[in-house]
Amino acid sequence: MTEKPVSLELRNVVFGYSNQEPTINGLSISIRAGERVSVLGNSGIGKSSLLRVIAGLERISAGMICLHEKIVSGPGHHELPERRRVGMVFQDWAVFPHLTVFKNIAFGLATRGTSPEDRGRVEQMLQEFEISELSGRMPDTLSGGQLQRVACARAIAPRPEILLLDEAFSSLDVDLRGRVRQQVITALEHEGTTSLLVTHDPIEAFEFAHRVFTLENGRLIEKKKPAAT
Amino acid sequence: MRFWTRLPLFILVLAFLAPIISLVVEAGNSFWRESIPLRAARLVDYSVNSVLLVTGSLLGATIFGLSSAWLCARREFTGRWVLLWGSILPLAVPGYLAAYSWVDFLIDAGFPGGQLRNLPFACLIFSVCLSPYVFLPAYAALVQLPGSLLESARLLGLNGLRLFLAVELPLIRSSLVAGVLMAGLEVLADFGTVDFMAVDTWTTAIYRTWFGLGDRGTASLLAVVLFAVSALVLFRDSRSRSKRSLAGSTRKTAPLRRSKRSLLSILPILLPAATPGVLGCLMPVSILSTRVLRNWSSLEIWTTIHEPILTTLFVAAAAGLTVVSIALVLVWTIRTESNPAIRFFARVSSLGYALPGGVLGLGLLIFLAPLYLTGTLVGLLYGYSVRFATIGTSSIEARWQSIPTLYESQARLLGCSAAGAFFRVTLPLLQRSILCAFVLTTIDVIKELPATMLLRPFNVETLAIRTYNLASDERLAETAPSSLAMVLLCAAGVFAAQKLGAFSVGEDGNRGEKNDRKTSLT
Repeated sequence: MTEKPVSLELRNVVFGYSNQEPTINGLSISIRAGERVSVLGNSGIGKSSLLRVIAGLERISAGMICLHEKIVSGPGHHELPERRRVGMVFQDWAVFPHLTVFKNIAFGLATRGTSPEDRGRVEQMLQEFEISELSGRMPDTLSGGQLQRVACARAIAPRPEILLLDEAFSSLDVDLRGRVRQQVITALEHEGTTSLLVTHDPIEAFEFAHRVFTLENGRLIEKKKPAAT
Repeated sequence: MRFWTRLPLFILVLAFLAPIISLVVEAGNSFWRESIPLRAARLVDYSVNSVLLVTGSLLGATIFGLSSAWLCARREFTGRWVLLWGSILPLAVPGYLAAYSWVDFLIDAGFPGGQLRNLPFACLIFSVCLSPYVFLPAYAALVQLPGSLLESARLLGLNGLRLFLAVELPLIRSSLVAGVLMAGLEVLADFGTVDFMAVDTWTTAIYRTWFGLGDRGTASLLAVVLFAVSALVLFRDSRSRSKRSLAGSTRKTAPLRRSKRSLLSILPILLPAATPGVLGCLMPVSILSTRVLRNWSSLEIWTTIHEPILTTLFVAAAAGLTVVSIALVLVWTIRTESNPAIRFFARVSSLGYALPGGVLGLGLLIFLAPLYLTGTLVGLLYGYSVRFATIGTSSIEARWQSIPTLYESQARLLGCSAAGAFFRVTLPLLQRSILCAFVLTTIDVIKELPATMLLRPFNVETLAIRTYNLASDERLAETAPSSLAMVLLCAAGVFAAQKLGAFSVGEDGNRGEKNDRKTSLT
């Protein structure tokens, strides 16, 4: 079987907020196309920062980040976030409150849902996440679980090469969390999208990912999946 | 029993409605006396000028206020705090003072005085002086926007102007519109600036019709129309406020960190952003200070202005106390009253801001004349209280809403009476907002010209009146001491109000260690 190409690679990445110890310190990881990876860790350890440097929302102090073998962050180089083709589902959903569900999902598409192709794509996302009936609703009329699905559908709709999920399911109750997670996994497999989830929940980390890491002292350490009891 | 607790409110509602009813009755009587076409022909010019003035002023104020708000909220650069204060301080300079100082300065520089007094120049004066009305709500809304919303938009491919137009502008729209509407009300209510700049608007028409032509009826009719327009504007604003919400879209709101930029890279936005601070505050203050210093001995400055200063301070403090007391009654009623009709009346009587000073003055002149109260301090305080009750109620109500009712319930369970719980628990928690309401009211009273002119006792001369009288006699250089005193008093008030948290400036926590943990767009 041929190995899939590397989709995301971080080499000795160092990042820290000014005047503070680096939260990411010499971190390296390589993720292949279509692979799902989870990063486990307690609050404040730098999990969200890891996603933010990959997305280009923060500049790294040292090291290198490559997306599909192209350097996007490195010495003297920083590709802007809007050019990286990276999708992200934020911990606080960040669904645009002034747009309907349909327009939120269409936001990142070329014609923002006005062309037949874009409309079809939005319809497809609505169906995959089982929120077709919410299409015309405004965000302030939705429940937490519905908002979460809108956020996921919006991030996947523009077909990003990598999807980053920041504690994406942690605010949902256990039943709903499992359903939304499965919907996301199905959509990711369908699209062949590489993904990286950060979470503090070990069960979620293992259920979502092919490989699981823990973030300790600014570096990643791979964890083996516990044997079923 | 219920009647007695509601009595203060009934009195306030009647006091608020009295000048309006007087105007409406007077206007109704005159309506049939003069032919409509004659009146209409006269009004067309006034209406066109008013519309042009409001449109031009609001366009300018929006460009200036919005650019400075965006720059202060989104960019970190050398001198950011100077720009921030420069965007707020035009609040301390009433339009008519800016107009006096600019015209005086330009005449000195060799420009013919007659050509300076025109509609475009009046628009520019209003634009810079009223830009804080746009800046303050826009800035507060921008710094409160969740950073993740803007970062999501960037990750979905938007940047720069497209990001601003697609996400930021729609999200701050209602705050922006509220600010623009309030600025519009100020333009409509203004008398001093338009009178000096020789622009015929509805306000000047009202004065000329009453005092020049002695036609009380037509003046009242004009005043009623102006009130109706202002009330509509305020009604629209209160509706948009009730709709303003980001509820449900995000779970928590980490604001965006400002990104560092050099002055050169932000120059295209910095130029309009800095205009209000320079033209609306720095230049007028410099012009006035130069005049005062140049004529220090010949003007006998202190002897000419110490009485107006003391009078202004006394009147402003008395009005501030009255407004705060009224506001407490109104807000208490709104908070505790279960009858929606009573709550509605309480709300209505706090909307005096829709009454331009001149309109209110005329209404009160008609209403107070039979009571022999025209030209008395009581009449003047009455006018200020009706006009500025809105400021008091909005400051106090905003804070009161954030105090859980649980506190008073707990105090009652611990043995306090209803009044005891209010005085021992709620009132101490409201202290800051009461002080804030007091300061904001005094600033507006110091600047208020039309209502003061119409309602003051004959021997009472405030700084605003003294300045206006001198400017009317074209003794512009002599207006400098009283103008400067007024600006300094208002500036002190603006500083105090900012310290009391009136403007939500500096509350974004975008400083110090926390700064590093906030989200940023690189």
